[in-house]
Parts: sequence; structure tokens; C-alpha cells
Amino acid sequence: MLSGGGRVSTGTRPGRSGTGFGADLYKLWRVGRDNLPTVAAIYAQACNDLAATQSGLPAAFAGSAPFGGADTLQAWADLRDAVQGILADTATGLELAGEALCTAADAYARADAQAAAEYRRLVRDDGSVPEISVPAPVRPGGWTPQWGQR
Amino acid sequence: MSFDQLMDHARQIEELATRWAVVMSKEGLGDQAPPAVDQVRPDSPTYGADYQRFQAQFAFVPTLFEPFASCPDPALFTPLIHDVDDVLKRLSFGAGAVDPFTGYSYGANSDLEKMTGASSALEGWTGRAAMNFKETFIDPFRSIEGNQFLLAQALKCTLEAEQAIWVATRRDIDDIAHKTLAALDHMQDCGRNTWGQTFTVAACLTSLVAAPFSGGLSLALDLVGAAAWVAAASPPSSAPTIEFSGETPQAVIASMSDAVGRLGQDIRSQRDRIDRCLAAARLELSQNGRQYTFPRPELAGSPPSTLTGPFGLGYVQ
Repeated sequence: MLSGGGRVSTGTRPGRSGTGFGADLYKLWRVGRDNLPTVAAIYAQACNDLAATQSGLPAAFAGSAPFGGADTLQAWADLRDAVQGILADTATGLELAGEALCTAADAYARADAQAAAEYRRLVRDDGSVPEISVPAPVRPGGWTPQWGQR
Repeated sequence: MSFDQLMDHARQIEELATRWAVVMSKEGLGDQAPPAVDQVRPDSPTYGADYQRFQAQFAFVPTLFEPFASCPDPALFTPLIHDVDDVLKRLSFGAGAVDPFTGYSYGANSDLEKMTGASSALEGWTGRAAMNFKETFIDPFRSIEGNQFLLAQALKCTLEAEQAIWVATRRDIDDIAHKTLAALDHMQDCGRNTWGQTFTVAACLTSLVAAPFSGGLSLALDLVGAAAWVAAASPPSSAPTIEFSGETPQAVIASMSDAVGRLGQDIRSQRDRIDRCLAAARLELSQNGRQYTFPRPELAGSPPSTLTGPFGLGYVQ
């Protein structure tokens, strides 16, 4: 999948360079700064909406035990935990990937002065990209994340 | 009559059945006319002993109603359902995001399109982590996200199903108490003492099959949710109705016991459907988890030196 004979390193690549490359870095930064954190925040909020059900769950099911359902409360909570964990991991993955793209854009820019100038100009001129605050997703108790928690 | 008075009614049933049993025990005994039902009281010098004796036959009645009096409050499910509904609103792409039971269409959360927008910016990058992110996150995003939406729907519809069971339970047990009291009130009326008991719990759920987006491996998800009539509070004619009868207080109470037993069976049967739905969703998730989860992106946590190399973003064409 990787062309370029593995020669790729910061700033010296067979691909684009200079001003055009600066525009590429800006797009990369923009995805890392805005697109991925925005979607990560959606997932984190959805995760936390599910987490919020925990406080009212025992009271809602109180009194149901004499009426069977092997253990409907536990079965529901188990599925909820699984979905909540998936949403949390997705949020974290997107947020970390976004941070990586921003870090990478900066690293590439450090090795290509012309690209860096254009990249920084575009970032400076684009005042419409506030930092997205991604809420910390609440993982269910006992959930093992696919990757490190933030 | 309201559900909140259920235990009061249970005690009234016990008392009225006892009184009638005393009255009927005095019928046909010589020249003395049996007492009127309101003359029979536990503190009556004449009938007190009889009252105590017959009360023992019906003392179980309040106990029979107790689990129903403390059954779940359907209103307590509403905030939980709202929480899960918020999840669905957040994860809705619009098209196809429809509640399968109510037909409600969730409006699109346009911010989700930012994932699609990320595609073009990463298009030309050839490093392994860049390709990995495109292939495992961006390209399958709509289908995996759609399947996650489906799981959230399973959570919501099972809560609604559980809520519907308790709405119908309260209606049915209240109706049983009401009709039992009426049957006891009409104990000496002309004609047969019969009444129809409708079991709406048996008709409060509905099932359907939802198909996840998949590479062909996933099973269809069997979902169970509240029947439409529950929200409208008008039970369907299809709800089973059983005719009960009783010409003596013992027979009336036996019919009532049968009805309560039948209601309990209906509740257990419906809750088993919810359990099966939840178990099937968990099984589907464990067997075909890749259809519902994104793998760890290789970009995550990579140091800058790796990020700009061939195992990171590589170069852009």
C-alpha cells in the first residue's frame, strides 16, 4: 500500500511540497481540529446519555422481580454497558486520531519552511475553528477499553 | 377506582366476600331470615364468630394483590427512555433513522457529516496509519454507525416494552379488583353472575425484525416494543377476554384468583420476550462485533516521529 520505497520521512517525500503541501497540512489540521473532535463529542455525549440511565434504572425496575423475566434489569444493563463502552471507545479513538493529525501537520510543517508558511497562514486566517471540547466519556464499570482512557 | 387504591380494594374484597359467606351460611336455616350483608361485622355480637371463621377463607386476598400493588411504576421508565432517545437523536444520519414501532423519523445530526468531510482531506495520504484510518473508520462509518444506532434502538424499544407491560398490568389488576367487587355486590341479583375479564398485558407488545448493515454475517435483530394502543390508552379488541362467573363468594374469589394467576402468567410471558430480544442483541454483538465497533485507529497515540513516517501518514500525493 505504501509507495515511495519506505523513504518517507519528515519533509522529504516524493509527494507534494511547498505551498500546495502547506494547504494539504491545513486540511489535515482542520480535520484533526474540527471534524474528528466534533464527531468524538457526539459519541461522548451519546455515551454519557446512556450512562445517565444508571441512576434511575434500579428504581424503574423495583417491584418487577415477582413477575419473571429471568433478570430483565441485568440483561438490559448488560446490553447498555456494551453499547456505552463501544460509544466511549469510538469517542476516544476519534479524539486521539484528531490529535494525531494536528500533531502530524505541525511536524510536517517544521521540515518544510515554504509549506509551513502557507500552513500557518491558512490556520491564522481561519478563525472559525474553535477548539472542540470533547466530554470525557463515562465507561461502564468493568469495561475494558480498546485503548487507553483519556 | 384507581391503581393507587388497589390494596384498599383488596381488603374490601376480603371483607365483602366474608360478609356474603356469613350471609349465605345462614340461608335456609329454619325460620330465621339470614342477615343483611351490612349487618355482618367482625365486632357484631351475633355474627362476629362466623365472621372470624369465614374471614380465614379469604385472608389470602390482600396477599394475592400485594406484588401487583408494588409492581414497577411505568412513569419511572420515561426519563430512561428520554436518555436513550437522546442517543438516537445524536447518532441519527436522518435518512432511514426511523423508530420501527412508531414510524417517528429522527432528524439528521448534520455534525455527523463531518466524518464524511474528513475523507477528502485524508484522500491522498499514503502512510499505513492514514490508510488504516480511512479503511476502518471513515469508509465504513455510515454502516457501523448505523448498526450502533440499531443497538440503541434495541435499548429504547425494550424499555418501552417494559413500560408498556406495567401500564397494562396496572390497568388489568385494577380491572380485576373492580369486577370482583362488582360481582360480590351483585351476589343476590337475578340471573347468572358472570363478567368478562380482558387481559391487555397479553396484547401490549409487538415484534418486528430489523436488519443491521452487514457484510452478510449478521443476524437480523428481533426487536420487541410497545404496541401502539398502549400510548393511546385504548386496548384493542384483540386483547383476550375470558368470562368468569361465581354464584357464591367462594366461587367469585376462585374466579378472581384464576384471573390474577392468568395475569401473572401473561406478564412473565411478555417479559420473557424482552429477555429474548436483549439476549439476541448481545449474542449478535458478541458474534459480529466488527459490524458494530471501530477498531483502534493506528493514528491514536503515535509519536510525531512515527506519524510522519511510512507507518504514520507517509506522504501526500
